[in-house]
Amino acid sequence: MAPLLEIRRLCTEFRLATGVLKAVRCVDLALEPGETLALVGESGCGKSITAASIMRLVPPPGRIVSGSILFKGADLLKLSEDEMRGIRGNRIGMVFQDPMTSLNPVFTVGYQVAEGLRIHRGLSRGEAEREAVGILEQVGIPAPGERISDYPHQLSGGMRQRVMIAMALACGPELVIADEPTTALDVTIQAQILELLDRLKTENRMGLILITHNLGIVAERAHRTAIMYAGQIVETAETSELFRNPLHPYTRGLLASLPEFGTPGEKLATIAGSVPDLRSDLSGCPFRERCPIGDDACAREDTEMKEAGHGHLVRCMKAP
Amino acid sequence: MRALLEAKNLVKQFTVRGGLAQKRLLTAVAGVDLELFPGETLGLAGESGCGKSTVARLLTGLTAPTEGSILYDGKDLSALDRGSLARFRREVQMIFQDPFSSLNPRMRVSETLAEPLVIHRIGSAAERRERVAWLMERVGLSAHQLSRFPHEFSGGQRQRIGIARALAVSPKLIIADEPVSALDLSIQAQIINLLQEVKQELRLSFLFITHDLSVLRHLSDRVAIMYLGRIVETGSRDDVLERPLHPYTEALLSAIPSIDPEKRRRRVIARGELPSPLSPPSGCPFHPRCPYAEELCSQLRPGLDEKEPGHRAACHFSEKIYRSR
Repeated sequence: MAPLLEIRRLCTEFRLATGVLKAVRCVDLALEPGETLALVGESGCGKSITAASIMRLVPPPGRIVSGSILFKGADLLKLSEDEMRGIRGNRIGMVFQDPMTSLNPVFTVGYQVAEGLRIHRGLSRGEAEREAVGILEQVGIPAPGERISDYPHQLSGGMRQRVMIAMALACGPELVIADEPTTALDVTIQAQILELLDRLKTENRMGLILITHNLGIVAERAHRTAIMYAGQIVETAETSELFRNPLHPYTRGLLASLPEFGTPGEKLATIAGSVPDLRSDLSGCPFRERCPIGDDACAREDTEMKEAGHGHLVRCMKAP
Repeated sequence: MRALLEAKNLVKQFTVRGGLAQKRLLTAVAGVDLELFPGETLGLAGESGCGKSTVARLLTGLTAPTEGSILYDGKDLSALDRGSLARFRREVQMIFQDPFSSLNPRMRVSETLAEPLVIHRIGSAAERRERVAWLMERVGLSAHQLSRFPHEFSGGQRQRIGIARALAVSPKLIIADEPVSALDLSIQAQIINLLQEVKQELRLSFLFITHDLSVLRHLSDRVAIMYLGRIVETGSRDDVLERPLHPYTEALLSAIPSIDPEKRRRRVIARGELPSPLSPPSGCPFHPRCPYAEELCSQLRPGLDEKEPGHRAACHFSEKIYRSR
């Protein structure tokens, strides 16, 4: 089966006064229809810029410098801006972290959910609003017929996130990118929203890219997981394999530092230091200075991804 | 042993303006009792809007309670003379969630750390300089960085500065409101370890407020779970988090996504959302979302009763629901 999305050697940079910031450095990713891929990393690792690159919404002064993004075989980077507008919000939907800042405060939620339907499907205002009611019902908003005339500030955080999901799903996309969709929500509401995304994904056979820093969510929801560090994918595998058998020292460090695995009252394992400045020279392994097993060889050459069996790839020359 | 800090039936109400000059009363804290003993870490958990941060502000004396009283070292806070109040303000310090907004961007780190010493008239200028350098090293930063401004530090480093500021005046009790929630994963573990270290080394008591139950489990000796302005369950860490006796605690625990497949319990999903504290439900505040609710729950609010030694829960049916365990 042809992959739904295939990213090849994607590089995205920001030209700043203080130097060139290489936010995404040669990223390869693939996603099948109906699959959930988790993209995991800490702030500044490039996961959100990778998502913005897929949508071709990298904020200036950032730009995609090389690579290709094949969506059902067609390279999104070669499309005109008009053609891209026909894909965004239509065949690829996006759910952002903070529904308060991503929804427009001066339009009703009904208008915002219906907007995509009017633009992409040419529905009239009335038809689009009627359809919007159905979609709001699908995402679990009670009394959707009344809620469509509410403004975002009249809804709770959980309800606003449901509206965001309704907007992303309105046109029946084949791919949804969810960037930290539950980070701003309470755990009991988070559980409801993740349940909802999972159900809708299965019903509509969508591909889902789930960007998060929460490893528990990853373990429960994703088929495959890619770990990002300093703009690169450093490890990727099926989720269960990754958690059972992490190979990259960074992945191992992250898992070991979770309070869930610590003994109460005792010291947690930590990763020394902090992430490198992406404006600096990043030749060699970017993790080497924090790495418990790194040595001089790690500084000398760039590390390539190597296969460790069963589609488990790791970017570390010392990894077993 | 006498409690270091004790809250008795704390109530805090705010007046909220609705449309057309309507005024409504919002009860953020609706009768909270707490005790914190010397050397102990009490973890206070709950979701946003449950009143946990208001409790922190009440306990530090930053806002006055509408009803109820706070005793520090056995003395009522509202009746302290100036000298005792100054002592209270020195001995009880806070650490905040957001290391970006809780440091003054125009002050050098040296000034930020010296300010509490100046306010409380501790030491000579030279002694303060020495103390500030010691604090900086104690939290894992270097004294060479003292002349820098907050923006020159990362989030984790800024949180270390926030901790150093709280430690400056040798407090007895630290109230930490979500001190690691804004930090990245690999930094979170570093800060949790630092908090543990200083707690043991300086024999501090801690009130630790968080929504993250795995952090709570790691740091607390005793735990209190809040819902809609009330404590619904309290007891030792293991009693509450391993053998909860309140359906809300159970729902909260089972909603946490876990890496360990064996830890993924039977999901008890709380229905719906947190009701508005402007119009709290009748009876038990959790009953509209509770999977076990019966008729009595909507009529009578359960008290926070002792169900097992040292383990209290506010639920009419906890014996029935959890007996089988």
